[in-house]
Amino acid sequence: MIEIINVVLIVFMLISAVGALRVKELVSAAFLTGCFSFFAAMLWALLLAADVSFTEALAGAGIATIFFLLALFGSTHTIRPQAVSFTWKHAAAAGLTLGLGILFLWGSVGLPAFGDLTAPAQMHVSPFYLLNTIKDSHTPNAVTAVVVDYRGFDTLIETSVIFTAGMACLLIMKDKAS
Amino acid sequence: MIKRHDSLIVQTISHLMIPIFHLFGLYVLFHGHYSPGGGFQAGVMIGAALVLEMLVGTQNELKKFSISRELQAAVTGLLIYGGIGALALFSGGEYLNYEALSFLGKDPSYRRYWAILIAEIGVTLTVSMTVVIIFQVLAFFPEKEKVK
Repeated sequence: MIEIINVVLIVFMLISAVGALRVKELVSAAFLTGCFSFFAAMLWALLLAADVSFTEALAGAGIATIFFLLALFGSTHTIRPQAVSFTWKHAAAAGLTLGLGILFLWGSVGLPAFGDLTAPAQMHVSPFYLLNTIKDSHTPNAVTAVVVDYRGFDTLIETSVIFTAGMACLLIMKDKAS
Repeated sequence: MIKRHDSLIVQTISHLMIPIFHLFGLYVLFHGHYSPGGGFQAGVMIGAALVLEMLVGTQNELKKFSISRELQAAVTGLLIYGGIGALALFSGGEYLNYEALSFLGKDPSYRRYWAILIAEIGVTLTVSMTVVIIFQVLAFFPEKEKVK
């Protein structure tokens, strides 16, 4: 069932996201992005997704905010530039985005109810993983077992993507330093 | 260019807390089987502890962080994870089929248990070193010229 605290957290997430887009000082915008990640971490914790909440709090509210602030320290643009006036192009873009949003909302009516036990996502491979992790690998934490054992190939490629991101950052900035 | 943080409180508390962060990161890694956690979470936590070291460290302490060493460590982490899969391939099973690794014990489920731990160690190494590399690049490279 949809509890009121979930709605409150989502509203706070919306407020901090809109604030990060509208505020004038970019340092404040970086902090508001961290705020958004913090509320998202609380939401995942309330939905009992402990691993995701842990990672979101560490990486989103911690490391990503640090990286945004460091990027701002290295640049001279710390005030958001003046917004241009509202022309017909902006109106067309806003209309298209609103139309896409309405399409999404219309499509979401056909999704299963929140917390439905007979949803297709809970019927196909999830019961197999949840019932067989302890027998297959003595790992009570099903998330670790799925991520590293049952779907280990995805994690390998994801790790190499993380490494590539670090390398790309290094290659871009090394060019500027020399 | 980031200077050392000059508040005495921050420096004292950091010198107390950094070993605790490292220890907690290792705890999260090794208890990933039983509690929420695992490779990525432990990697980010150890990376954050190293970032804190770089923020409050003196110039002498900063000398031990060299980017080439960190790159080597990150590649080693990736090789550990890919290597345990390749070892499974060479031992007779498919790639990343941990049940084929005979040096991890007799019971196939315990082979998977230990192989999951080895793979998580590789992931932690790569993620923590990548966090440190990106921090160093952003904080210490644009020295004299600011990005216009």
